[in-house]
Amino acid sequence: MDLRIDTTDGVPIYLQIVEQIKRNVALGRLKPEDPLPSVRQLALDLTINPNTVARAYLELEHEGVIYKRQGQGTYVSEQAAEASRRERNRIVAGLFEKAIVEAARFGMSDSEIAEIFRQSVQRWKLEKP
Amino acid sequence: MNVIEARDLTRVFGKTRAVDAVSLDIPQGVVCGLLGPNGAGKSTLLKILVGHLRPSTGSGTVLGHPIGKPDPALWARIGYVSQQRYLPGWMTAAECLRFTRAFHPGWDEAKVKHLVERLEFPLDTRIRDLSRGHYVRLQIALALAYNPELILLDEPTSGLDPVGRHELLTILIEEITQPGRTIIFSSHLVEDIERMADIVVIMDSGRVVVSDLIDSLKESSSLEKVFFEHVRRQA
Repeated sequence: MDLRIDTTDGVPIYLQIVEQIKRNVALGRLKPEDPLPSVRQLALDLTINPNTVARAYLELEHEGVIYKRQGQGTYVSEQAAEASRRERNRIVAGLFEKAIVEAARFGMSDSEIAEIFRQSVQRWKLEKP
Repeated sequence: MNVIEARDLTRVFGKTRAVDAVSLDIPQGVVCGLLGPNGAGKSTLLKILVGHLRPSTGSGTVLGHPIGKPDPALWARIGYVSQQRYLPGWMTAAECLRFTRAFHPGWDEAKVKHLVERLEFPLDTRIRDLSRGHYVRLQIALALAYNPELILLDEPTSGLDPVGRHELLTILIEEITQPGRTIIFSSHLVEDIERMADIVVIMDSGRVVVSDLIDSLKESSSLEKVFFEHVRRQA
């Protein structure tokens, strides 16, 4: 698992960790029952406050992405993939929504928007390596 | 539980209000980053908290002890890294460690050995001949040697090269994972604060202009923007 912290980013560090771990799960780089580094270890690896790592883990636990095994550490949960898929859908839906709002501002009709979407998918399929 | 509770702390030097009506609550277990331009009052505030300066007015407590009343029992529970060279120049670093040990019943020799190895400063050099970086490293070893509950560091990363800075941050991370430790450190580097702080206190012209959880501050903007919005830049 490769995490990167950007301190110049406006996003709080704990959220950067939450999002990157979810991304790793969505991409299959982290699988159910994979262990996560301890709070202390991840704090040392990233040179950040351990309280921040603890907060990120708490948030991920809350969302069902990871779970704690008593005295044994933190692991990726069985339902993590499902949680990440929901997250992935939410992110992509948000991007589409922005485009749709913009299209509506140009006064485009539903069918025009649908047509552009169809063409974009086709162009992407052709260009994709 | 609050480790520090300060109400309207003010310190006047001549006509200057170096610290101006500062009120602060710092809970146990957090890392508090004190950010501000030069002359903002960060060092003066830390000196008041550690008991090296009396406030002109205002009150409060540090680890339950009243602010402004010198108390050796309190000093045994606080580790302090100053920006000033106050250690006796004629001693070697090793002598200074042995000398300081005598004042601290809680002195942890194994930890000192570990810190000396990690911080890599020369033990046999006289303090007056230590570079700024080595002097800071010696102070860090002295400040952490007796496992204090409250660690106050005044610009600890200034004068350190990137390797030393990383080493210091690593040591502080290890400290804060110990239960019951609280750290307050000042810096003019936004990045150090970003990485290490739970709570950010921004000072300007003696006053606290921002005091909030770092994650709440960053919900609206980057820390750097918050800093420049609140601090008038002196020309």
